[in-house]
Amino acid sequence: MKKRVLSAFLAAAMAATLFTGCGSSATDAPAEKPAEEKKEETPAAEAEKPAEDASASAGTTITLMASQDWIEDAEQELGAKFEEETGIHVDYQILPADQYQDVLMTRLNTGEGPDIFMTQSGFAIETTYQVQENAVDLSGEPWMDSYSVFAAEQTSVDGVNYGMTYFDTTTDYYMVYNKKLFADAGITSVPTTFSEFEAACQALLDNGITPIYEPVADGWHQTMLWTASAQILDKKTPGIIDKLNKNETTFAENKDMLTMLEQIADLAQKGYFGDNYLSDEFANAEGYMASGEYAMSFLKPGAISSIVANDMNAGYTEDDFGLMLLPLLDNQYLNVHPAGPSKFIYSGSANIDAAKQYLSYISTKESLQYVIDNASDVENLPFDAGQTAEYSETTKAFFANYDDASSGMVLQDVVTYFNEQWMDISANIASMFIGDMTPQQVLEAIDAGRTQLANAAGDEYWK
Amino acid sequence: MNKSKLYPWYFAIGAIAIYTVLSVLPGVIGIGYSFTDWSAYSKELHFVGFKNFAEVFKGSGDYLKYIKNTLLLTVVTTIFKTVLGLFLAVILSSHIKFQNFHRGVMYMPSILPILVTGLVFTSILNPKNGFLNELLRAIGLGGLAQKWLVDPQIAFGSVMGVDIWRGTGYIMTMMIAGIAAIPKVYYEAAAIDGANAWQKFRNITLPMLRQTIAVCVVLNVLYGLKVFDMVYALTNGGPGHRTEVMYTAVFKMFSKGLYAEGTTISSVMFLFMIFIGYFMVKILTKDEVVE
Repeated sequence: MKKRVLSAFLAAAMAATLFTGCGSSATDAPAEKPAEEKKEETPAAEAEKPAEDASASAGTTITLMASQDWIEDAEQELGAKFEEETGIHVDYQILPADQYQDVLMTRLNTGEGPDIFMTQSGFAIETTYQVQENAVDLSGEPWMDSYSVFAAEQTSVDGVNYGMTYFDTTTDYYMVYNKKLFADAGITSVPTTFSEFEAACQALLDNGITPIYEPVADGWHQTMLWTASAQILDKKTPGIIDKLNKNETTFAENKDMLTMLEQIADLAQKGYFGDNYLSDEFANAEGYMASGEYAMSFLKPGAISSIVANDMNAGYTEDDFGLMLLPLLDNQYLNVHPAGPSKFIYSGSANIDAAKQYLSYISTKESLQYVIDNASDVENLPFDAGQTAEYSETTKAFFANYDDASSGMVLQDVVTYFNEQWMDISANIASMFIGDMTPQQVLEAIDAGRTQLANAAGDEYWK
Repeated sequence: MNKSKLYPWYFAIGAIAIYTVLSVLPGVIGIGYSFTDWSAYSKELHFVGFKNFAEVFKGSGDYLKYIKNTLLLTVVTTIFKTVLGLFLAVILSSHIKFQNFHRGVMYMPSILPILVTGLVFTSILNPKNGFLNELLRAIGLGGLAQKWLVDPQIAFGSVMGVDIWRGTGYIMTMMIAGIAAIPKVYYEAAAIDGANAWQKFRNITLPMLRQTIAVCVVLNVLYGLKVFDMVYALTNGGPGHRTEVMYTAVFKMFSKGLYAEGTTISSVMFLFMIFIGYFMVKILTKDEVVE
């Protein structure tokens, strides 16, 4: 019996030790509490503090999480200078593009966000990323005076600015094409209709050149082929965007949307993307364009100078490349896309001051100029701080063809609950390429996703 | 066995408490949440009955495809890992030169983090400039070069292949331990009776390894059902959704902030694994002698 009592005592003692362990971490909690309290207080409180009041931040490290291709080397070099001047180290956490959104959302949803996170601006910052809760109010920051109002519209919710777009959103993605390869294939004029475009692709293919470098492996690029031409939808059917946002029509009902997807599928299935497009990566686009292996790729205008500077350049100059629109649905309206990869300071960050200092540092006139001068694919940044833009002659000539009447916003900037599904849509389009889904099913999946997101958000138009 | 030698049950209270708090309770709470509309988009929580479950099991959803993929991966990798593991264990339990070196080499893949393995193989299996295709081309077998991870017909096979490569060494080690525990006298007696190697394997090794094999199979099956990181690192479910499994779908649901839907799939898998695990152990050890 004594033995039993002793065993019971020991068991109880063991259990007590266990819970003492838990208890001790509970007593440790006060040490963490200020950070938690800070999480609630900082968004409002910090805005009133001057950003420079952060000498205590010296020696700290701030984490900046971004998707592949969102941080230029020149920005990282600025980060090193920033560290020299302030003592604040910036830890750039760059993730593969196809995994980025999942990881970021998981970190935000579990309260483990990095000090600065990046995401595409636009509707999704409110519905998906909930910046009102997850990010710090930056409306009072010194750089707001020079920050583009168009960019600010995309990083604001209810008039409060939460982010900083640090990406060349003054231009969008267009079809960069190799004039020499076009001429060799007997293509004398830039295609302006889809049938002309397909004929050009076929002529290139017959001439032994893969027409288009389409990097599907990253899981985001293929959707842009569609959305960057979709401004024609509102021109053809005025009011369609409004109806979509009011849930009065669906993607699946729209025959033009279907045609556009069928046309993209056609490009893939006729071999115009080459044999390896499913494993091709965006990071290699400039190299393959420079090698002359591919005749076209959907890139930013600034990419032309990077292509020419690439080690794989087979002797091309900037004059050998031109810009054109991808004429899905015979679109000839210029795509305008003021939204882009933007930086937000996580509201739960313990280093909000240091993070604000970093944003202020990279948005000075000198820093902006440094990035424009040293990142070959950046021609300008969405600020008016007195920096000098470096648009190439090709870019200037291309934009001279379009005015406001012949331009339109890309689909993801005007339709709700769309950008949030970007990676899913991209995966579905890849499924469409390999025949696992029909274009109609891709559209139906978008509608289903929009309904799911709108219902979860309690959107009144979906009730 | 003398009952007084058994430790009293309450010695297990600490372990049971940890297990309950960290494993059982979250599982049960998760099942509770799967009946709600819990999401990142709304602070309110509503009871929605079996709506989320209906969504998972309705025929038109993609989930049935993901369930099929998960089960296929489980069955194929379990069979291959167990058979190959047993085969290697038998070979490496006989007296061959550099026995421990060979064992070490075979075990090595198991200690590599799965994400590292995935990233390395993404590079090796790149169709354009990956090591495997370059090697095949270099030795004149370019015709065998494949788009390993992006050809819809073979991508899932490649994922399973890498998983088998990684997991076989671990199973082999367990089998070696099992074989080492078999008393040598059985083999000596069989040798005296004139049994050949196959007969010894068939009538001594296999029956005596039954428990080890049962444990290996259960571990492999449970691993297969909850596979995530290998698929995530190698293909992230692609091309399209061809290699999507249940837990990559769960991860994507959670990352979209659709917690209830994600929890529902997790709950279904949780119950399924308890069911499978329980009955497999019962069946595989049904002839076991209880001392």
